[in-house]
Amino acid sequence: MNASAFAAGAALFLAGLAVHVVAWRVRRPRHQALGLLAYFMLPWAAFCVWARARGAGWTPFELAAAGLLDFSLTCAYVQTYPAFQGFSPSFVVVLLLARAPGGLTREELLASVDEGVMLTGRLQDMVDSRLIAERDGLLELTPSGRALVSFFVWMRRVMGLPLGTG
Amino acid sequence: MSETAAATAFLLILAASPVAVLVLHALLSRVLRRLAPGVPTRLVPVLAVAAGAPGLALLVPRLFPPGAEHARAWAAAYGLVVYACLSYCYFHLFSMSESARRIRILYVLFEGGRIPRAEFSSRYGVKDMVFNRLDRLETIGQVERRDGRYFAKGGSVGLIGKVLIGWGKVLGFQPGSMPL
Repeated sequence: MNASAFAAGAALFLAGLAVHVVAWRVRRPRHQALGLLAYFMLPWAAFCVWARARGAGWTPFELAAAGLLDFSLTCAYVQTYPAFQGFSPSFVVVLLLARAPGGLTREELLASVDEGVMLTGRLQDMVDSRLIAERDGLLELTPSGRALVSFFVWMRRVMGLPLGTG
Repeated sequence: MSETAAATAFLLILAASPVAVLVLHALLSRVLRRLAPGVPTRLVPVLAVAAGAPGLALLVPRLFPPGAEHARAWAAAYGLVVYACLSYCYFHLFSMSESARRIRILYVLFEGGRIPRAEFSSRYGVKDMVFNRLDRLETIGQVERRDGRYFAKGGSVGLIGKVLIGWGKVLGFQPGSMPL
């Protein structure tokens, strides 16, 4: 293990971040999670092709190490991303309370929240991501949505926990 | 073991570390639910990650023998960053199963089958979203209740929220489309 794999992994992540910012400002992809993974891992793939073609002295192990670091940082970013995109309801609650010096009752807080953004927007985002589908006014799981939720149901069972409350 | 073989084994173990954390988490979750049911559910994955870290730390001197101090130091730093990032992902994944809107929406459709859009909010509406979170924030001390009114407290969640809004603006998200 050496410094170059470490530095390359970090630099490739930063390159992916730059590509992501530019791409998002120009046109956000419809399926944002997959788009993020693609944009972030693209610099690594290009780097591998360049390093092998040029015979630049990078061993397959060093390229894999750089890729794993890049991938780990990317996954951490992707996990945080919904908070930038869909806005976390927990932050909404805290920020609404912070803006009310006299505090808010439960009902006042509820009245301050926009249902269109909190629920309708999220449902539409999930339709766009093809996790759920809407046919004849009915919402249903798509095969990928069913696979995703099955994983979480399995995870909760393995932990011996009931389903989460959202 | 050659240095390349050791380093390759190290990478594979690091890449598989979330699976090890999941197994530790499942064991801890089941044991603590019986012996100490008061332990917060979200603390358990943190304990699982912490329990896995010493194993990883012990692996470095075993795979990188004395004399390879430079490689050993870089492996330790590299392992720390990758393990921290993957553990952060694992923690988020578990949190999603616990409290994410998207996953709750999927649970509702998983259990209810096909549901008319107009009826969806009666199964999981904004009221559930806001009140569940208000209660959780009160439990972790980010919000306090006095005479039936709620106040922001602490400030770390609010500060993180401002950072998230700032980065959202960099990415071109319009604050006007946010529920504030």
